[in-house]
Amino acid sequence: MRIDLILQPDSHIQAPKNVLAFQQPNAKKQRRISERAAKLAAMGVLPRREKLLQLRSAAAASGLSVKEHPVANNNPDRAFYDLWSAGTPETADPYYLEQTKKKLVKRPDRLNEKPSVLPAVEVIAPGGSYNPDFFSHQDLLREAHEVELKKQKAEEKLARQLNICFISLNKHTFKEQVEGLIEEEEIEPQEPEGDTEDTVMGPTATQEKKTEKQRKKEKAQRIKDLQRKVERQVIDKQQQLFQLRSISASVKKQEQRTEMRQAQRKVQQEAQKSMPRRLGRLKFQTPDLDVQLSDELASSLRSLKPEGSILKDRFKSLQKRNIIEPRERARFNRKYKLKYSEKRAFREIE
Amino acid sequence: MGGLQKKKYESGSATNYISRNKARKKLSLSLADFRRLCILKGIYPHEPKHKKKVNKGSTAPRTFYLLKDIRFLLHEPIVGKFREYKIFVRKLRKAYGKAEWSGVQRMKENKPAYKLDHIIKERYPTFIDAVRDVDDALSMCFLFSTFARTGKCHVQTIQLCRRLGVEWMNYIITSRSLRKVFLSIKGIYYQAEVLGQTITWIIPYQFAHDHPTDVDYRVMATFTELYTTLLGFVNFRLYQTLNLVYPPKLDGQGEFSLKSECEEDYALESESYSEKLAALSASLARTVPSVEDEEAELDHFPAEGEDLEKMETREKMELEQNKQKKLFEGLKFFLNREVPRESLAFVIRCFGGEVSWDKSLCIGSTYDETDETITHHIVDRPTIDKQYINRYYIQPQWVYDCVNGKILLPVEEYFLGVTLPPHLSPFVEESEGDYVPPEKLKLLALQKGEKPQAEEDEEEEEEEEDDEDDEEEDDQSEDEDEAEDEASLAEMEEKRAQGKSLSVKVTPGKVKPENRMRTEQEEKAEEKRLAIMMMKKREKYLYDKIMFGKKRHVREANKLAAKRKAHDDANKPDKKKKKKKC
Repeated sequence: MRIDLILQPDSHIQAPKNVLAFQQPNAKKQRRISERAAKLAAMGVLPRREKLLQLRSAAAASGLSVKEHPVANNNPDRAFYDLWSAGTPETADPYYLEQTKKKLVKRPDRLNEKPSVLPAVEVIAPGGSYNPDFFSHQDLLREAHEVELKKQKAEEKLARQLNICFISLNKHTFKEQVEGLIEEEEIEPQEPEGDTEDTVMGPTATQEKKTEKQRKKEKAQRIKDLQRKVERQVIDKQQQLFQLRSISASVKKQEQRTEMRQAQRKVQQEAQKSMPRRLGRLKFQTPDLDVQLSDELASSLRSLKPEGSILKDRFKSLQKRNIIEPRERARFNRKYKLKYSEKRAFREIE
Repeated sequence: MGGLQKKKYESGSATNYISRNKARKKLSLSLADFRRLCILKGIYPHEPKHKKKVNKGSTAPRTFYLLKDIRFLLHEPIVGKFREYKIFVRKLRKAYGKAEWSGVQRMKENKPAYKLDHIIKERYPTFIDAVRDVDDALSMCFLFSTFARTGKCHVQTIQLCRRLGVEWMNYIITSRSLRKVFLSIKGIYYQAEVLGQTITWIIPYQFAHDHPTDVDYRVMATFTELYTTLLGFVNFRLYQTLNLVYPPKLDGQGEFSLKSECEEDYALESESYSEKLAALSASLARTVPSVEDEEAELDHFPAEGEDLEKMETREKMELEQNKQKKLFEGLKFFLNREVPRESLAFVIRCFGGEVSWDKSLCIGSTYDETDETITHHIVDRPTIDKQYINRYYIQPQWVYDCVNGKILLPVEEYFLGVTLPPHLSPFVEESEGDYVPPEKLKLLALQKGEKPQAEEDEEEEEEEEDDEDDEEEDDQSEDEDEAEDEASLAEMEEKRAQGKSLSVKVTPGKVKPENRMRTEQEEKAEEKRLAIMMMKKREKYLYDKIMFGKKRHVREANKLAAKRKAHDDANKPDKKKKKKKC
């Protein structure tokens, strides 16, 4: 439009440009950065973003996931490597490992000792074979029989102890019933003798002060006693010479006794090593002997019925070797009793 | 004076121990996690000598751990993993509650897991330590592999246990290290010698068993976790020592022979390879192809500290072992359906034999029942319909008894329908004077050679079978010299009884060569007798008492032998009747 033509500048000199508008304060830096990026890209090194982007697109194309998931320990296809090979990956400088907190703490030697001398797998006695020899089978049966006998004895003992109370009560009922009926001489209650009361002086009764005489007498008595004692000691020492034989005999007896006790204690200590220790609230219950009675014995391997469970056997073996403590199933105890209430709908029915 | 007096329970054993709950709180773990950590790291509770001191005056039974052990546990990296897992469970539960399914998916993908490799390296710094502890691991792995895959314990664990068990059995087969087998009512005990260590483990029978309720399954699962890791590393190293490929691959030849048309009938594609390995019928591939060269005869030099005698005994033992390893070599076995296939296949292949079974039974059968070259057919039924001529039909106990006896036993006692001799335990070492069952005596005799048997064969024709059996047993338990004398005397008595004239004549005397050893022994015995006669009454009394005690064993053994004889005599008429019937 004509108005636009009029408004256009008619000077051939151009308006001065505002340099500040075009200035970039860090133009040089940016130029350097872009040049470096171009140089690296030419070599093949990409910035991290580009790399991740490329990885992601490649993974998406092939269908794998980018992140490395931690492999579970019990994965059946897990790979094993040589753990004890000399060339371990962690053969860096120990100082470096310590500073970067990668060094593992040394395991104390005490933990490498086994807690029990028993072997890990104890083989059953020869009587436990599926087709046992007659005598070894009888031995095994005898052992089981003895265990049963012990249990029975303990039960009987308990029953006996309970019965005794009742028996004694029975004895006394007759006497109770008969009391007061039989005419015997009245047993007179003993009168306390009045004489003795007077002469017995209370401990805090009036005690007169000791006179000088009494003190001197007591002192002389004491000195005499001491002297007598010393004399007696001297005489004893001399007489011990003649008692040498009996003294040596008694000393020998004592030594023998201590030796016996020492030996017994040592034997007990050795036995303790193979016994299960008491590690917690419950005592160790020896597992029942696995034994098949004579009529249960199998005639062939096909008709064998296995006795006992190996799971239980392994569990008990772990307890016996002091590796775990015997525990029972945890009970669930309610703190407050459950409250039951009927729904209103049901209450209305009745 | 306050503050300088020593207070009770502030130093000494009371501060060395810490109770279980306090330890748990120190580590800030739940009880289950604490137990798991203790099992994995090998920290065991201790029983203090003076419980009252440690328990600060009370005698309540508590579980105590050493304080230093718990402090050591604080540095363990997997404690952090346990705590992470706890937080993961909490977050997962929240996401489920808020029904954020994408979040749930994301979290499940990033489930925290831990590895136990560094723990194994720490607990078993050398390979031999690990091999020593591997029998517990083996029993546990084999036990778990027999569990049903219902999901009560992770199915992955069961699969891993099965894989490791099969790998171990393949290693034992390739290295021929099995020594003893024992069939008990609980399970089958095996003993092998690996790298100088004796390893015993037990495998349960393959029948279904109901699980006991009073066993803590979480604890057993934790043990299995540790043991599977340990066994995996041990297997890898063992395979390396034999130059075998790990994970195991079947040998090229073996694989070819195992390829059958209908592989899909046995297992899924993914599992068919592992099932073929589990069949134990083919050999494994090696990394370095083994060249079969003849064993050069090395000059034997005695090792340091060993004199000639010991070296010779060692050589003898090695020769015997080598002979034992080739026990079943050249024999071909066929297993019927009702026998325990895996156990028998394992044992037979361990000693060089070839084994196969019916095609419909399991994958991996190499030859059929109709194969002509089969030497032994193992059956467990009372009778069998089709019988081939040039093979023995025997019960499975023959294989195990041969392994324990280290020789091939006579097959007659193990035929179908015959009452088997008792299966003796190879783990029992009888000392002198103990009762030795007559079956074992027979076995020892067989091992020594055929000599005792040959002597008796000549006299079999004249006498009845019963007397011959008695004489066999009697002769074997006496010295050889006396046996000869008795035999000759018996002959003479027999002849007299039959009314024949004895061929005794007066012949010129023969010079008997003086046996120097014999005379020396006799002299020594004479001296001993004189010394005994010259003892004082008191000393003689003591001596008699001691000898009485020593000979107790021998007397009991004799008593038991007499009992056994009586038992046999009582059963002889029954046996005879049975024989006559058959």
